Amino acid sequence: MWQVEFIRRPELVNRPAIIVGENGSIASKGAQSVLDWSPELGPKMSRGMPLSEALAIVRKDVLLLEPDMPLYRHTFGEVLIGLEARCPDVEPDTERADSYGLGRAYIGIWGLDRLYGDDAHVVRALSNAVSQFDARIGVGENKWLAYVAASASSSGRGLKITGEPGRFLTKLPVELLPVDFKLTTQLHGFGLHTMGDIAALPPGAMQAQFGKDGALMSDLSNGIDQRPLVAHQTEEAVSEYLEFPDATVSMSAILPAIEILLSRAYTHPQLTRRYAREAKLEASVLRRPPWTMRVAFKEPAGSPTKALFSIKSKLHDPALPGPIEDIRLTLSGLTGEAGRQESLWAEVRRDQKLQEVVNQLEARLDTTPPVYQVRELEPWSRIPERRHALVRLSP
Amino acid sequence: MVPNSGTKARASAIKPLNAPTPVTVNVDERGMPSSVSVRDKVNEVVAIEDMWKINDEWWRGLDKEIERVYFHTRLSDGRQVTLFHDLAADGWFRQ
Repeated sequence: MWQVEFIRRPELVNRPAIIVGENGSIASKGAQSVLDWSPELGPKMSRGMPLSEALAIVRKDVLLLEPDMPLYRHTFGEVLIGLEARCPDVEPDTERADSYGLGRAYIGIWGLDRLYGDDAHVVRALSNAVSQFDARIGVGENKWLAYVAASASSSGRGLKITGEPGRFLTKLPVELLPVDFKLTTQLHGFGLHTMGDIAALPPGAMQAQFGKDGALMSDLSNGIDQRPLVAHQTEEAVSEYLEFPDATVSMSAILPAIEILLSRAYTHPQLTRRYAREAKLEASVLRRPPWTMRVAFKEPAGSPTKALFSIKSKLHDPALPGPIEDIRLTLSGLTGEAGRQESLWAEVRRDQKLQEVVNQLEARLDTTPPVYQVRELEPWSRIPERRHALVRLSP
Repeated sequence: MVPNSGTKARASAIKPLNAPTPVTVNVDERGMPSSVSVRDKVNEVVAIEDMWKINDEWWRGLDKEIERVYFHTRLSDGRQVTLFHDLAADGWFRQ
């Protein structure tokens, strides 16, 4: 993340900076924590560390940056495409739900020696694919060893773990383990500072103390990692970008901009006589974190008009957190089919939808909404007001 | 034995549909509606397109008997309105 920030803002180079984000863990939801940091801050930092703790460690003139997740994801997506051009099995690290895995990818290099030569040539080919970044490459028998090797390697170079992995891991700090910051603090409390300390303990003791995470930490500290490499499935998408001359919050400026982006997107050869199932809008907001909105089309949209109609119905003024500076539109879920999936049990779905609407109204009005349905009472009656009645809707 | 749930009867949850609304009607010498006052506006009855009478629940006594004469009318502004004369209460209603 910091590398993307430095490419975007060269004035930040050589300045100590921390990218701060919301902690994704349930225990401390909403708390600010460290997502990434500049190399000047050294190894004292660790991902997921609470901001207060990080500030206590580092100097006071450290720069705090708000994350621009859409940009990081977009850049990482381009990096993955570059890697996939050289190597078919690329897996972005998405095991952890938060953003800590962003910028990390695992690559299966089996058989590539026939194409590139030995491992050193493979590493060079991969390094060339991400030449604009300070890439660290590690080669190991499994994902964990490759990651640890990459963490220990120097910029633009590769490191391969050969021989007994335990000997390589023994001196490495527990901060490298893919567990919450809170857990690593607990490990230090137990006097477990390196992976060698954990490997020396029986796995049962670790599992008894830390549960599932304990078993994982024990395995990893011994160099055991059973996780398979699952190659990333590239999703076909069309993306268009537009920058506003001035930041705007006015829908009369934003909607024509979306219309232009849609017209551009539908002229792409990828979308010729095809339909999109989903649109994603991303925008940089003035002095605020970026804004993202997803619109899933009920029916795949085959024209800018249809797509705009669905986007308009979801986009309204309060959805925008502030004036936006630019906008990116991504159409995904591209398909050749325009069919709409209908339910076999239409009645059931209709009732579910009605119930959903009633629940939403109830939440909005803070009272039982006055929604009625017409029921037959005495349809044969000669007195008109006795034939039907309105009863409270209970789908 | 089903225990008493303790909840109140929710009569308010049922609303009659097409309930009669009182209206002011002027009648001619034969007792037929000649003009109707709808939302403070008097409309002439230009035609009576249909007329029928119902007499029901006479067995419940004179005060609960339902005796109405219905008129399906066309007003001067072109609207079709169904009126009835409640013979038991001697009042005019729109339905």
